[in-house]
Amino acid sequence: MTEYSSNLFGYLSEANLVSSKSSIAPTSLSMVKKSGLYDANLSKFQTTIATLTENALSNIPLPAGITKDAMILAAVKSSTTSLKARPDLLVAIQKSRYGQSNAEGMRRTLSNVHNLFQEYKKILSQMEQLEFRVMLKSNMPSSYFSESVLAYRSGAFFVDQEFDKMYKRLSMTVRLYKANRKKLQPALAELQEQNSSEMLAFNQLGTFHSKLKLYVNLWNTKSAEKAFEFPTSVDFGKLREDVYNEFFRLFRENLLLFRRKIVHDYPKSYCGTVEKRIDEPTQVMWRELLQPLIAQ
Amino acid sequence: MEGVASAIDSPVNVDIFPDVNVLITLTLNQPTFLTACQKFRDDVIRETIGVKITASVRRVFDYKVLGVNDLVGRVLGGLTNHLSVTTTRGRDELLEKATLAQCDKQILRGYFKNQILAADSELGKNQLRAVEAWVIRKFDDALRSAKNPVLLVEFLGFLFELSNDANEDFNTNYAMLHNDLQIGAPVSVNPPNSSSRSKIELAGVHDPEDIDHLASIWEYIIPQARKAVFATTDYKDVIANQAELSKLEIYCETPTYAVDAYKSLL
Repeated sequence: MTEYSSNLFGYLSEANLVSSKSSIAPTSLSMVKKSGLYDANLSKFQTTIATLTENALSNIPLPAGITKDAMILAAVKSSTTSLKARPDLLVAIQKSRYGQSNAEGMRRTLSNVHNLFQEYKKILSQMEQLEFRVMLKSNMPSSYFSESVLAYRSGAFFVDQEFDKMYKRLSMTVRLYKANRKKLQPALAELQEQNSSEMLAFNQLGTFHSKLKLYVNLWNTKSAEKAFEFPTSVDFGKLREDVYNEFFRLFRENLLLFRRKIVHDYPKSYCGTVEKRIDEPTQVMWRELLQPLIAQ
Repeated sequence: MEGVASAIDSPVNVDIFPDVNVLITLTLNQPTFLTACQKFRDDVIRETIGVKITASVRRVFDYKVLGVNDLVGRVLGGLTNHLSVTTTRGRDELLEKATLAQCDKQILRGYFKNQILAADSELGKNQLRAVEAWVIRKFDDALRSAKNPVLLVEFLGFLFELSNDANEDFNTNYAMLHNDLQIGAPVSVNPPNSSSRSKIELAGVHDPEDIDHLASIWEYIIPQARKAVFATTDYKDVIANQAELSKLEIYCETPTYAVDAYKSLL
């Protein structure tokens, strides 16, 4: 469970670090220094985690006994532990953050982003199975039970395929750069633009996913550390439906935005064809449901 | 006003707008009017015409698709709770281990019977009947083909997955159609005002959705002195009034002839 939880939150932090320059918050850094968790070699990473956690916690009402600072420190602790166990990732993050001007470095960075994504997809898949079972045991109102399961499943489904498409395009840009040095600047500019734009949308999605989960977890746990682990049972009676629904709405909207961005913004030539056979009776049922609405 | 800049840049002063029915038919490959709608799509691609949609069309399209997705999700969520209570009397430890049995079909049937009775429209009842037929078919398939006992939670998860795949497939098809038709950002983001709506009503259109779409188009084209072709399969409310609507510079056509109408206006 510890590994699962640190990866879960780590995904957000690491993906952010690979793709964008996070702002540094001096107050967060000083808090980490005072806590004894500070590691000089990882100061930027730790500060970024602290900043991201602070952002993720914005607008989330905290239960009595859990403070924002305690949550930030718990996040820094679990993410630092996770990162120290992955030196390859640390190298990739540092290279992408501090500049890597050759194509091979770019390729490795992309490869790492891709691996992160695969890992995230795997975790999502495990998470949805777990959540499906937990929700069956919980008192979650059926009105939003199905939506949550569908949304998580939806995330797990398209994240894999759509990211593959994005990854292929990024790889192609790097190959273009390698093949023709005259195109160095446009290709790099394109790479940066594609990377930042899509990764920003993806990070945004990750943020709202984290917010939704953090809210549910926070109100079903007794300590800040435990809030980063998935609860074994969820009491939805402890949650405010309006808060839950608002976070869920934001998550779903960003899910759709990200999906649209990836599907619409990439030319077909980069996307290839998606090999997936849809179950025919299910498709027929969908048609039956929609047909009368066309005539309405 | 997001369309003004492109309109000024473009030498063409005609826009082509598809109705919701055309978009759904093409996205789902619905058999009714499919040949006409496919001809429209192919004509648009061949002539490299950038299609426009109004925000009202996009809104209704999303509403209908989300409505179907929500309906299936709601039914499956309710079914899950019902099975949990009925088959294991709410005992969690039994639910985890519960397997599908032939006698569960009566429980499923009972659930749908109550839901259908409670539905307040014939359309709602028929939609529930369609979901019921699908669930029972999958239930029979699961019992028939499984070599080992099928866990109830796995069966329910499977239904969610199938439904979600169909939804994803629909979304992907729409995204491809969006690319094929080169649909830009929706125009006329604000709902049309009452004066524009009245003009459309006076032309003989009475359906509120159609009035919204046509009034939105009118508000988009008139300030720019443009013309519009509205491609629709709505014969009764829209095509029947095409002569009156053309006086407003909105040329309503079936998908079969929509691109011809567009070219004749150039």
